[in-house]
Amino acid sequence: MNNFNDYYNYMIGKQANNMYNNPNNFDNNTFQNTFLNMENTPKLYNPNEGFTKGNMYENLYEPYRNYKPKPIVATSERESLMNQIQMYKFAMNDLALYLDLNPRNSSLIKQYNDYLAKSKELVNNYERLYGPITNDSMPMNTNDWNWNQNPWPWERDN
Amino acid sequence: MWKYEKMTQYPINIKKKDLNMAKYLVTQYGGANGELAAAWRYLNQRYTMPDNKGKALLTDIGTEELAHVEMISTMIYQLMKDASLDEIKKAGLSSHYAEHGKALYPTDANGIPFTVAYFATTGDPLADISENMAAEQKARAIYENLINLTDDPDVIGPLLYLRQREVVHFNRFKELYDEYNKKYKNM
Repeated sequence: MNNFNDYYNYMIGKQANNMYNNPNNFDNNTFQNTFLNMENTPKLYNPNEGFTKGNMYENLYEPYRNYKPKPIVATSERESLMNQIQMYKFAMNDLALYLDLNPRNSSLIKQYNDYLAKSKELVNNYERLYGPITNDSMPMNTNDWNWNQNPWPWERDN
Repeated sequence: MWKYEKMTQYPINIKKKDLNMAKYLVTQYGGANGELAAAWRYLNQRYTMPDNKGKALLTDIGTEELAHVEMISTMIYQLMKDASLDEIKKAGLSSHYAEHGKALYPTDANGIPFTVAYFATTGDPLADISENMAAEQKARAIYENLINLTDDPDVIGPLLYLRQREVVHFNRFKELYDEYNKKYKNM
């Protein structure tokens, strides 16, 4: 897997290239805002560590006593792909909560879009192999109605 | 509207049945500080938030809490699934069985059914957001109690994750509270 910390540091680091990132809202991407955002952007865990811990933000992580987060181990190919999807969706969700309150942080928006692209690709792979995750996705277009097929999320993978 | 995604927010794979744990865990489904109360607390308060930040944050955290309802429900289901009637009796779950069989039902750990009296909405953003901060702290404390009650890593893993979500949500609500406190006090 890619080293997301390096990638992330590159994104928020010396290269102040964020003014080109958002063609829809040029105001968000003035040089001045980019500078302010660089000051304020919280340091993130990579998606795997964040997902395992339940927290993408290094400054907010609070362990409980000496308990360690449980490593996420898949027992099948299907489960492994699903865990990757869950991981990126988790990362997006946690970034979204921050962006709700800090909507002008263009470097975090860029990070969000990167996770979004990765999760879409994984969802496409998963759905092609194992059936739809949402009932408005393309793999619904089959002869047999496949939305009602296993596995349901509460059933153990067996 | 909402769209269902056929996945839990975090993987849950409990192999060992444990009726006592199911009995305690249910409080995070239907108890005063549980996920159902959290989801409806936020999704109900969001309409009267004074700006887009509050509306967005309450919508998104409320939606995430619905995913936590599913996680807790999945855990209870998996902990109870293979139990025999004898084991149900021994765990003191006969009264649950009489009413609901092995089906899920939102109650607290003492069997008191869920009620919307568990949460408040005042229409005052400062009062509502500080209620939410307290709710996240109480849920964190309950998750710690629950973690103390088990030694099954398949149960502790998701509980640590859910506890950590309370920590993040608390901090986001606090940030919103601080901003609203400056902006909307005495208005």
